[in-house]
Amino acid sequence: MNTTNTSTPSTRKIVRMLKSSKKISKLIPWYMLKAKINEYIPWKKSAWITSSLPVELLWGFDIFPLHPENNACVSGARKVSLDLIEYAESLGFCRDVCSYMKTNVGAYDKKISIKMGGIAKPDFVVTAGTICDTHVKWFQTQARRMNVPIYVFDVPHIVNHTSESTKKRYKDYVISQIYDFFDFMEDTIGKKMNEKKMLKTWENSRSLSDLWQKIYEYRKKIPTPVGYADTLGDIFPLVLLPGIKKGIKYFEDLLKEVEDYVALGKGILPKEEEKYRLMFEGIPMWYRIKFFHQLMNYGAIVTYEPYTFSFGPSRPYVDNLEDGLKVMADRMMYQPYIYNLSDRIAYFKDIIENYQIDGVLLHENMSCRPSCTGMYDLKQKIQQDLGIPVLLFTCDMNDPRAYAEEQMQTRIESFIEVLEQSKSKRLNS
Amino acid sequence: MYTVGIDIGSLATKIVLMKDGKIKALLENRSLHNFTAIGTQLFHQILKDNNLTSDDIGNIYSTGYGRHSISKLTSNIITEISAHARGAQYFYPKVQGIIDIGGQDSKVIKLNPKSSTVIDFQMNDKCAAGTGRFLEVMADALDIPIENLGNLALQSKSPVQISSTCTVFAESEVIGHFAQGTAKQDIAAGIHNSIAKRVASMVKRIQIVEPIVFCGGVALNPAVKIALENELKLKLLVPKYPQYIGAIGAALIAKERFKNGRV
Repeated sequence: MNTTNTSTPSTRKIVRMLKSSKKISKLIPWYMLKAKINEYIPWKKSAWITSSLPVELLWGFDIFPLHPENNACVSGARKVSLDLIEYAESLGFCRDVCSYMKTNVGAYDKKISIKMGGIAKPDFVVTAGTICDTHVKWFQTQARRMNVPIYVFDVPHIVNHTSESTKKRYKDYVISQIYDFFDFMEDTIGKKMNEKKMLKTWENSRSLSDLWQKIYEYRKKIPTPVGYADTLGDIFPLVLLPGIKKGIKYFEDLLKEVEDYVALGKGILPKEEEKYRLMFEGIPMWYRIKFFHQLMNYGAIVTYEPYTFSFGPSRPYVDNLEDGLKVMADRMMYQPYIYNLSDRIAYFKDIIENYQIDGVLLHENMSCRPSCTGMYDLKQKIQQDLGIPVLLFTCDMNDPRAYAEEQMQTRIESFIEVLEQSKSKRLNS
Repeated sequence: MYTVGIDIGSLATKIVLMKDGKIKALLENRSLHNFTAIGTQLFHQILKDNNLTSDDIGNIYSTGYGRHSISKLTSNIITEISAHARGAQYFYPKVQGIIDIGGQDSKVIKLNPKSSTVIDFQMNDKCAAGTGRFLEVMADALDIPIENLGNLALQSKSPVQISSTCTVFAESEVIGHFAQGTAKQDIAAGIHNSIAKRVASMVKRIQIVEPIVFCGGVALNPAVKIALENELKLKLLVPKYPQYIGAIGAALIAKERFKNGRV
């Protein structure tokens, strides 16, 4: 007899994902090994970089990229983030500060292994406040603590009614900063920009993004051949390897398997089990990835995430530096997370329609203001205009203290009941 | 046909026996530390009191925080959201919104005016402020029985303001007021206003409209109803047996889903 006071049922233990996605467990250690080797070779340079900045800026200079946010996710998934966050809080960083930042402070100071999310001291750091204002203060703080140079891009935000002429001036402003960054590289790091290498980097990056776009296109299929368990790992090459060939082979294998699945009508869940197709907005709770697997117990599968999609936007072929910089500036300025509300709503509507989404999950991320601002408006608009259920829940990306097991279980089960009623009503009508 | 709904809440477990969709018997007890034991005990008790055996029951559904704890006894589970929506409709078929304040959570449910199905819901964040537990802690701080808290608050002419949203800090605030010699009824009224503000913000987020049913154990407290009505500027309907709404809803859903066997 079960005598435990709990609302949590037993869950499916098998994680359903593509075979090719499992190869990420070889690609990540390859990157980690390279990072480790890089640390011990004096003439090899490395830099910390944040999301929203093109990693090609580093690969193009043969600088090894280290990504504190990526490493923080590793710490979260390895269940060590809380210890690191509490360490940072003991230094005075408050509870409300970004949990990625605090994880990074803890991971660096405590010198944890790279496998657990540890990160080496870089030769410099580069950041921007494009999608997150904390990025700037975070890197400023860490650059000071590590005594390394910092370069900060100032990327203007496009808001409602920003005119085309203003957008053009913004773009010119960003391009001028990229040239300024080239000077920074030469003056501070002693590396000159090599146009040929930069063009090759952009071309590799374009190939990687093209493959990602194709893979994503197949997620429109019913049943979907790619789930969130896949894309959560699959974004790794997009975060750190755009510009080199290593990630391309990984995506080619993935695309091939996806195409085979589609040809056979196979999905991550069998067609008869795929009851609800969901869109997930926000950064996942890295310490509780099981949440997304558990959804499949109810026949619910996440088939679109703006978060993973945004790492691999399509981009045109370029054969000269000037055009390449324009494309790069565009990419730095236009990202789903900085869309103004009306554009964001239009983006959601488009996805919901094209990917045949039955419901939306919105993660109100306690320590990430930028990613959850506007979510209530978004929720109301989706419900009003499209009539599909939306669940807004409060958690945190890397701080497990913000995840209440029993409350989340009740929310999910209730949401599934709402989805069931909503879908049968839509089918009947 | 008899059906049973069991609502295992964090503080209290409620059970309802229904016959052909009509209430036959109601029972409740503290949940304490063993959901399985309390759920099973109440089930056997209600059968015994009504001279029935388990074989007489067509379908049994559980709901509430401990809904998964008695899976050997029940045919199926239903969440508090669906159960409360159905239970509220039993008393008020035209209900469009529900406010349920239970022991450990509070929830607001929005219904589709045409189909009466749930279209949205909002639950309290990971915090006890705005729940029955908040009132229990405050009653302890004022050293009065929880049953008297509401009536005491209604005697106030000058409620104090309790500004902390955290239960623990609010308790310190209450003790501070007490130490300053503030009248107990004014502190009690401030406590009720505080819980009302908390729940009202959830109501406003999903924009429910009248008729609104107020249920859950806390609905037995008249001062919370008045404070909520003042805060929201609308009228709330408190059904008979407000604390049993979840169990009643579960028993009704058990009846509706019965198809030649327990499902």
